[in-house]
Amino acid sequence: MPENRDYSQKSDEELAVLALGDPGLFSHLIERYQEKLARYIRRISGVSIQETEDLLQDVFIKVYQNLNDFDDSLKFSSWIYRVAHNETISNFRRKKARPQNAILEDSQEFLSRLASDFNLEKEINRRELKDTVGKALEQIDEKYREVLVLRFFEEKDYREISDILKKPIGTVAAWLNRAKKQLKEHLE
Amino acid sequence: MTQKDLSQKIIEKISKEKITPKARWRFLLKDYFVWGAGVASLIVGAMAVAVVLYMFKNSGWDLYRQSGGGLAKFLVASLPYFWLIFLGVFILVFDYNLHHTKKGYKYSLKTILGVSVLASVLLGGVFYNTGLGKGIDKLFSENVPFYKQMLQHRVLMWQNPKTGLLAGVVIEVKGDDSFFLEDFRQGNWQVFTERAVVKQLEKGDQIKLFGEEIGDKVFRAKIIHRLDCPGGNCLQMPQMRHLGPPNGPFPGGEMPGRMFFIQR
Repeated sequence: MPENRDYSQKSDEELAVLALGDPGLFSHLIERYQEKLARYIRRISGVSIQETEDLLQDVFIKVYQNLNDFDDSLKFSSWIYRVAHNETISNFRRKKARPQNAILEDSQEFLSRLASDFNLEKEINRRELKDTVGKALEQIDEKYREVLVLRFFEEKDYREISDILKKPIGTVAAWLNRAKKQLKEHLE
Repeated sequence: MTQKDLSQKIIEKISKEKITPKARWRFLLKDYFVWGAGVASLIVGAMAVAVVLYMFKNSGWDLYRQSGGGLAKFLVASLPYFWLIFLGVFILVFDYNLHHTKKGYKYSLKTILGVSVLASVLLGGVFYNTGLGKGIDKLFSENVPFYKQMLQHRVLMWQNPKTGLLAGVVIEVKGDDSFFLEDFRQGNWQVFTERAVVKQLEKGDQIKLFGEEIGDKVFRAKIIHRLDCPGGNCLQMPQMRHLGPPNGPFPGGEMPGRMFFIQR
């Protein structure tokens, strides 16, 4: 049977296994996740574009080095988001800095989902929405901001957020509730 | 930077710096180490449970009510604090290791703590039934100086004739219904009890008694148990020494109603 060379049809998990034998194939995974992870890193850390690229490079190198540690009971996307999360946090620890304000660029969909969840659309017009939510997000705890980003920006379900942050599902649910409560308080 | 640019840059870096994926065995080794350390701490914790069970069972539960001191006082005096702290530490180590396994994060601290305690108690129960608790207690009391000091306090709990508690070594069986006992505070006692009980006693037996003081250094025993001393000899414990044979007259007395002698 001829070998299937159309790597765009391969799943992430299949590509991860193939990249172990052929480093060139790792580029397919980079291309699939580069934009998503860049946005995620900027959303949780607020770092500059240049710094995001540096971090992204470190993330992909780390992913490549640890391909043999990928646990196939997880989604590959959860695992690579986890590496990105850890690398972003480590970066701040190395610099002894705290994440800066979240950047809400390309965030119209996120804001709509959030506004709908909070019934905000009636109270605030769309033009004001971005500024209002952006400011409120800056006020809440980092861990709560991150679960909101994963849930509403990245559209991850509870299981995936649990795998990315390495927290029990119950904790994720509790954090989301508290995050919404804090956000609501700041919006009011 | 375009997608192609970054991807190309990373692939070039991988090739130029000869970066390779870490070998699978390194990750497996780390997993096995975490699990191995977890299992080891579980076993050590279970050993502590076995000793706690052994010490608890031999702390005289059946006699505390007779002592009139109350449950709280009895518990404060007889709890094996050293082993309970030891157990607590190893349960926490087991917790830490479980939490750091690949899937450990999925479970709440409460669940992991519950599993740790349950596993330690169950395995500790098995160890206790094989006699490991007694063995470890003996090993520590023979080799660890501070442990001997700790156990001395537990034995001295029985040195309170005013409340009906007495302990010591049989130094002579005299007649059908009495024997002589040397306690752990340099006192020699004549003890009266049932004939059937006296027949079972021998010189050198280490015993604890519940009864009443009926005269100067005269005791009437209602219940007698063997005394398990660390290392086998209670008189060899710190600050406890043998004083030689008893002397003086030994007045008799009326026998108590019901008596037991429980052999361990």
